[in-house]
Amino acid sequence: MTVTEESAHAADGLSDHQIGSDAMSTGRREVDRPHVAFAVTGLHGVSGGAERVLVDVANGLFDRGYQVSVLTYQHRNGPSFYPLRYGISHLDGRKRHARRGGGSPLRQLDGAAQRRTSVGVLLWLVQYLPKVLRFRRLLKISKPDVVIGFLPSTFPYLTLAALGTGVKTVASMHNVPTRDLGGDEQRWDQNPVDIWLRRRALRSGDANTVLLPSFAEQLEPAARRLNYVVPNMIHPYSGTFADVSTGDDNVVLAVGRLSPAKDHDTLLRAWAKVEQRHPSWRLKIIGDGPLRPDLESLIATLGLERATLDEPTSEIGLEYLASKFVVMSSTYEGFGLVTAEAMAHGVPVIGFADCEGTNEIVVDDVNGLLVEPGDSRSDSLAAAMEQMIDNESDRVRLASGGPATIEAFEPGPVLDAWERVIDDVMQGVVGR
Amino acid sequence: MTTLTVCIPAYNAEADVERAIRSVRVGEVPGGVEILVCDDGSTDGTWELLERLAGDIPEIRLLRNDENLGRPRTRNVLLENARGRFLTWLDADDEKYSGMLSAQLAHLDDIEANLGRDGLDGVLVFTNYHWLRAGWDEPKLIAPGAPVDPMNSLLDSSFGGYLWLMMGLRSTFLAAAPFDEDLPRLQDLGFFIRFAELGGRFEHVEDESALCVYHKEDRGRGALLVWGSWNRIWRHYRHHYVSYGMAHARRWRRHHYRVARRYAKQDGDKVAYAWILALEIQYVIWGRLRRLVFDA
Repeated sequence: MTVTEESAHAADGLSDHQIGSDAMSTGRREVDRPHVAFAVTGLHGVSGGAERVLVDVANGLFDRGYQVSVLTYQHRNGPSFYPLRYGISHLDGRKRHARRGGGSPLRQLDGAAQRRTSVGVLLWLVQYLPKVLRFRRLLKISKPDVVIGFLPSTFPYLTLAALGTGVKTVASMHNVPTRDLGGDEQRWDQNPVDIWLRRRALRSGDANTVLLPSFAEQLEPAARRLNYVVPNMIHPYSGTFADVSTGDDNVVLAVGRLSPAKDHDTLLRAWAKVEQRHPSWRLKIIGDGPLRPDLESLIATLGLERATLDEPTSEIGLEYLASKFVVMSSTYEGFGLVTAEAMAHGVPVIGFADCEGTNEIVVDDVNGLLVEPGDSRSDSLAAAMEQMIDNESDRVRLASGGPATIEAFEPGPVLDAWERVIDDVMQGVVGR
Repeated sequence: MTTLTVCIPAYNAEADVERAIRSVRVGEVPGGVEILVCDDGSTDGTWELLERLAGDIPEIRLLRNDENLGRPRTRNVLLENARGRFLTWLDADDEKYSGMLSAQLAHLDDIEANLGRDGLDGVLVFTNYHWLRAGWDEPKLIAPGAPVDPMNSLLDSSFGGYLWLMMGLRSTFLAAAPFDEDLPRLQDLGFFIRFAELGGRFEHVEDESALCVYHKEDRGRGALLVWGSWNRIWRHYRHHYVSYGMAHARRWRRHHYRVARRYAKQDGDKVAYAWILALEIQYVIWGRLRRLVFDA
């Protein structure tokens, strides 16, 4: 019997004396478990990786008997894209909803904010003080014991919002920390005040989490003392593994958003060097994103005959099962959910040795191949793909190495890790 | 385990409660039904009538409050004592038509067959209903649609479902319980907002015909009680209203004033009408001023 069934049956079978009005007001959660709140910018119509992980973890802890709330600050409110369990309360704090079209005119001051601290402080107050106050309001309404802020768009503000409320705060990062802390100019605010608060939140909160062990090393010592490594959760797969021996139709699979970080450009150039020699093999890229037109024209320019750009599917598991190996051409990964999921289905993965995230999950010659980029990324990648295609027995061996690697990312161990963070925070023993 | 509990609160309902109880078609529920009636300290002959009916109908189980505790507390008493796997409600002055219970149970069985036991969590299944006012020749069909975003449709008052239309797992009701004992009116709305906050959703049965009837009485509704209830809901759930944006929140709040005024008008209560109107004017003026300041 799974945990879900147990709790469901327990709810069905409650005898009269158990249902006092106290128990009813808390939705009959276990009394000794703390009330955990998760915060993220938005869940309504947002289908990102961090959001999926948040919903998985929230549901998992709820099934283990925790009282769980989800706090959002979204310009369009509504039900979560990924379904939350019935019983998890969802509160949204945003009063001001963005007008249609166009970003904030304040964006034009970004440059000035980076040059002058006074402008930066002023701009930060205008942009984020309402967010801090609204989060504070939500914390007072939902009264959690601990609030876990996902991504730099929530945790700096939660740490401030929780001051004096008695609510413990955990900052949860879901990317390479140096990128989250100002190293990525495309993502998150570049206002130095915001970046400073982000770094500060990692030290002044009650704990922080990163996804992989090497990420912890990027943190400054005061933050590292409070750090826990909690990997992302992958959905368990218990069916038969993929058959990766060579057949009539052999698929090389790449899954990921069509964005610069995934570097599909290199993948297509590498494929161009491989395609002609292996007529029974084809490349299938699944994903959507801003680079689709560019990549389509690159396919045409290179004259590729057996490379396709397919739309994302909700049945991604079937795609793994129908493939012979997966290629991750990314330059960096916050975690490598695709890599982990491919391995769960018994599919080996090729990735770059300098790609953070990937290089912690792929173990060279055990569950896949790690490519040293060398002088030309596409040449090196092509050589590895060639090797994977040609050596069927190696491929089968590498495929069998995958499932053991990712056991740590299965729901049980990941939820255990979250429970340890929550327990330590509640007992005040973090960093001791 | 009993399949279904039908919860009926009864207060001074001597005239109607037998009609309501007899409208529960016991034969439509495989696995057994329990008709749980709670007499809320009635001062007329309701209790004697219920005892007589209990001798007649074996499915009836009776509860009695020593004094009049009000409808929300009576509902909480009923919830605490229900034993069925599923649960539904009936008010003493309403009636279920034949086919209502079986249609709702069939819908719930469908969900369980397709999605498993977990699929039933947080689902309330409802039907269309008749609205019959004393003096009307024909009842009016009310067909509330199943809302895509339950919270939104509760806050903007577009969802026309009542508690006694709803059937779901007993645990689904318990998770959103208790009923707010300080709400003299609008208890269904208060309960539903909490239900939606927890991720609950409403589903409509296949059948498009009315499967029950609401006997609307033209008695005074107490405009100030209604007004007080709207205020309590607004204070308690203000964060949900504003989470859809201030523009929506203000428009939906205006609706509260209007409804309370309408009741005052129906009751002929000129003082209450003037009082609520004055508050409404103040609210509108404040809103305009705030917008002038903040949107400048």
